[in-house]
Amino acid sequence: MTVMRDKVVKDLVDITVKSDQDGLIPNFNVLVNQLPTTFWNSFAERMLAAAPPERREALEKALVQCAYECGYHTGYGIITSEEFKAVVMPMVTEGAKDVLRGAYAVFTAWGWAKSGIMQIHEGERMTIRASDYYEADGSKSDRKRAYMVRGISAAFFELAYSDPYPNGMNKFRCEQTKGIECGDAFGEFVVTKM
Amino acid sequence: MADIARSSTDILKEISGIKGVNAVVVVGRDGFVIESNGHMANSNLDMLGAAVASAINGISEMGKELSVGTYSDLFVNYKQAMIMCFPVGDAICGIAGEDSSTLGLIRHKTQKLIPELERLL
Amino acid sequence: MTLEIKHTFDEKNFRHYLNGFNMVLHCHHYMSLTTKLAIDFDDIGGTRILSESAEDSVRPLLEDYIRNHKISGDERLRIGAEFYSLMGMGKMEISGNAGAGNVKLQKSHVDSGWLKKWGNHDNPVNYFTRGYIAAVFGASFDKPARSYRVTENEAIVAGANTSSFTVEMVQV
Repeated sequence: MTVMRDKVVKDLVDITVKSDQDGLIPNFNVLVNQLPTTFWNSFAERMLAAAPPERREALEKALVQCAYECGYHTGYGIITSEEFKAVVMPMVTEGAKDVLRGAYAVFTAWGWAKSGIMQIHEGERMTIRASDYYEADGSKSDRKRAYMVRGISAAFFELAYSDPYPNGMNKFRCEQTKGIECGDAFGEFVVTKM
Repeated sequence: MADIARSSTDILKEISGIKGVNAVVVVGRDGFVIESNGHMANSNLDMLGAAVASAINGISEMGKELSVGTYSDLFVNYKQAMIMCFPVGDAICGIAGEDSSTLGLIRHKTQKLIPELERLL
Repeated sequence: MTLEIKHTFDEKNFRHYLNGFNMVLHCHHYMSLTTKLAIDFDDIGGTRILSESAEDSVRPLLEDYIRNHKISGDERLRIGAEFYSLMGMGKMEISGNAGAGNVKLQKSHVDSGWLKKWGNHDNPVNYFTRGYIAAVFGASFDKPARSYRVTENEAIVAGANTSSFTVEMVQV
């Protein structure tokens, strides 16, 4: 037995977040927001369009960093949540690898990216593929722009293989090697040690 | 003349083009469809991937319990389809065809393609 | 009034839709860091871009609701406040007319998130909500985008009990 993502997706897809009387959504040890994908995409696209060429790299790095910190803290909240314990943990038989599989199933179920692990060398390297992600929406581009998937993938790998939370940050990085937004059939992301 | 580098997408297209094959998927052990080509009339490729992974996990467990090593292939014949599975590293290549009449041809043609796919993945 | 929301799930690409609009969950870390990024890159228009992205992405959703439910008058502003809460962005009191308005936030995702992450900040940081409010007024009074200038006068992140904004119509 290992984590079966279709089961995780089926079980988690109907969990809808609801705001409290203050209009906030406290969940998974964080405050959650639920916004149109077009907000995040237009912000990134417009910032890149406004940036002079010499600042684009710094801007892209900062966009990845936003998702990376989000992925690390929210990712921890998710893998220690009651939902994860109830749905995913009973299927975990292969340790950290299975927790990662479960994390990507959640990542998929909640609409961030239809993604999963293609290849993994435990604690060393991981390749992720995504056949759909909202960052690929919009016009075709010569720049790979799945900053969110990149940041979150590095964070998930650290949660699985780095020092225990919250001391495991900045040990791995993620590069995007293929992108639907660039005309590839899927997005591909490679996590390696820094 | 130098070989043109082939990708996993090329291999899947070639498998999908074999007479009698409707669809081919490469799936992780968790049922994640890493890559696919073709289509199934009665189902979709995500479901094929999930089903193939689930079946292979069970088969692998059986192999372990019986101490007979790892599986090398799996063939199941249904009234309206046949499904074949091969290991590709830690992942699984699942092939869905119309029926078993072209089984020999598919086995023969995939003999070289599966190891190539494994190398590329 | 309670919003009528239809949640749908696209089984092919695994995306979530509210009333047909693709939505995604993120956390206060993501919003705080995005806001900080906009401030750090303000020399290229970061905070303006953040507000405008909010205005342009929220407005179609509000207009769709107003059109489909035949919402009129002050009710439109209230719909805007309810969507704000639905999105987990906080609790909003909103009033005004086509020319001007006032908005107060009893609770704010952006401010609470920033406070959780970094503590107090000298200046207001709620650029997302500025754009959101501009969208609500634009959709409510059928004015084109950028018709409203929204100013944050008091901010929870700077120590105030509530955040307050003033809204003025500008010539586009």
